[in-house]
Amino acid sequence: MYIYGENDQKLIEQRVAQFRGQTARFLAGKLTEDDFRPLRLKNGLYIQKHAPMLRVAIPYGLLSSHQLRALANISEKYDRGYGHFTTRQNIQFNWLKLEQVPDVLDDLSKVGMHAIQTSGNCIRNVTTDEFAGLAPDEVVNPLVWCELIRQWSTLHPEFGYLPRKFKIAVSGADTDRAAIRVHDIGLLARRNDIGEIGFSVYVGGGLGRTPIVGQVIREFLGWQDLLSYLDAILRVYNRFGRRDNKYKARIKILVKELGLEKFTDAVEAEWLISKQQIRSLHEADIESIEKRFGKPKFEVLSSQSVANESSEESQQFKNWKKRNVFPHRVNGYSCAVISLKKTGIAPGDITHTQMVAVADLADQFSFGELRVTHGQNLVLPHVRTQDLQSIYQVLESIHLSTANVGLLTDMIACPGGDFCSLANAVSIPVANAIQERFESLDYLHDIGNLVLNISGCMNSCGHHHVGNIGILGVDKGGEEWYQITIGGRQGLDAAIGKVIGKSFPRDEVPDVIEKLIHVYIKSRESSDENFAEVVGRVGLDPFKEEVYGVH
Amino acid sequence: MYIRNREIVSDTWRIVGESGGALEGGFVLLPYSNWLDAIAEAKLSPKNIGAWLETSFDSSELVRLPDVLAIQFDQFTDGRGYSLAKIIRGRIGFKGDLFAIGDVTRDQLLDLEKCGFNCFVLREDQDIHDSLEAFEEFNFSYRDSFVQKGSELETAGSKKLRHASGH
Ligand code: SF4
Repeated sequence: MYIYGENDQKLIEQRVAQFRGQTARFLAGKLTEDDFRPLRLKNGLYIQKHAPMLRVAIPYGLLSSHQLRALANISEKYDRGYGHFTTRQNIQFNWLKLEQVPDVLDDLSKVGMHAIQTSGNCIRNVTTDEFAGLAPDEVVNPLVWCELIRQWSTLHPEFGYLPRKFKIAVSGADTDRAAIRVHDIGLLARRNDIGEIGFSVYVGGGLGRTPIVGQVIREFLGWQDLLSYLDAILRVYNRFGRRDNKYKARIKILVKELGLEKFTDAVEAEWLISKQQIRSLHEADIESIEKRFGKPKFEVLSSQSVANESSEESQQFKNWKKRNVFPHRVNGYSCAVISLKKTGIAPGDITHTQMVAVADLADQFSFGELRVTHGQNLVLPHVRTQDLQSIYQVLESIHLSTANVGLLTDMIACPGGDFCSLANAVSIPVANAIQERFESLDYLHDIGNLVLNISGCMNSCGHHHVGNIGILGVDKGGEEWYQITIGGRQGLDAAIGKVIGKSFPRDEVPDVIEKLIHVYIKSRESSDENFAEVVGRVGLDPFKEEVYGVH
Repeated sequence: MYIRNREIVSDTWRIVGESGGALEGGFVLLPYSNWLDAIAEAKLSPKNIGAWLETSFDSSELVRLPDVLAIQFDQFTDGRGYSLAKIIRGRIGFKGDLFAIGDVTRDQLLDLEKCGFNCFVLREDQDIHDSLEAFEEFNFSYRDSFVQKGSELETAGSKKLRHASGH
């Protein structure tokens, strides 16, 4: 965990005071709705269908037990007793009152939390690998760099009014779990031949109406220059990004319209200037951040205690271990994912009592630390493998023991038409209908890893483009229909899914998904060949035939 | 009235639009191309006449620098003006007064200052006295710790802060 220092704390408290003043001026009629809107958005406050929605930042998905308890408390005190984790590793409260928001922010600041830049046309919460710092395949721990980017971007005076929102993700492992290629900037932390840390810089990825996979503009940027280089990219975007059409305002469109080469030249030219304005980083900068993170005091455990397969283990526990537990780089430790994808519950939702129980688990078993994944689940990152069974028992008792991480039912869904005023169609009921259809665990396990993502409209908050199966709500003469894409994937070889054909009414969606799965199972050469690979090999036709019949 | 270096100044700068207007009497800000013409014709003392730029202005067209420059915001959400200010301070090394004019409200003042503006003509409906409080809303910024010392971006505010925090 990054532990706040005096200045970090002072800053968020002053931000609360500033926002309290802005809200008071708005409520007193001294600030017009037009003037207030950009100010409140920059502080995570939307006015939605039913009530204001507040999106609270969880920087790079790191959360302490202490903070989770505070979130539980807020959801109980000001909201309806639950919260919703988002695909940007944040949490949203859907039922607040505007007058109370400054008090909510005040409560948050007491545990080092805030809602700064969780929406609006500014640099958003930086995201990373949910297994950062513990994954066995990690080359560079991205957390320190994420924190540095958080500091650099927080209240950045020059980039508070960009053409459009701006998202940065950092990964430092062989496998990209942060989807860096579908971000405005994706940073792959790596080491050069002589072991120095640097970043491959990807720019111009993004989903939305025009899904594009990001491209490299610099193979290796030395860590010392990270901030001046980011400044240069952002300045080019801020000056030349389109402001005439909000659907063409993301940096991906600028990169596309200028061409990669011209865009890169512009950044390099700007960098010469920004290097004179932003100093290069020193070891001391990094060390002081590292110090604030601290290190969990791992015990020396033999790896033997890992493989302690007891015959008393229930099948459910075995399933859960197989799906929800991931390797940890320290001997005898594991990383346990808590699925928030139980059938019948909106993906990412958690009640306040569950939050408190999970916080207790974190204190007891995981050094008080938690993670939020971009797949809308929670993680107990550092648990002793021998404690898994006890953890499982507690999770079972609070209905959070669903053993489906990575499976079809572990789907990502945006809030959709139930909450979001931009939606064409609902997402959550569709997710639930599909979960119900596939609930039989054995069948699910046979299918194996599969990413299914649902968005309620083209804004693509549910990342449907990069789902192996993507579902998109479309409006057909006022009715809710769903368009299906297949073959998308995230990671360093990210790909955008392709539309299989005309869209479907809501009640047909589970059937269609089942047919697609059927073709996949039939066509795969082994259980290792994943859905996207099969689509790549056999093409769309077999899937279309199954779904639409032969024409 | 306007704000200069965090203080209220009672002079007024008259802003002349593209279509022109009287140049005499007090201080005048002209569109940049008009300013170039006016200076060429030596119509007024350069002390009394400055130039304003649109946020989309291409800084490579700044062939000659006035003593006083302004950037005109049609909307306070037009972020280009912030970057333009940094370029004018940083790349061009402009040392004179830099005004923010147009849709300028108290909630932008601190950021504008950090980008290099030191003078602000507020939108008509703003209370200039209340607005001064905006400069005091924060006394810490991560940003200041990353700014190259001695660069033009060290504003009056950030220097003051550095002294205060002992960096
Ligand atoms: S994808 Fe559309 S419907 Fe879903 S949350 Fe985003 S804007 Fe709303």
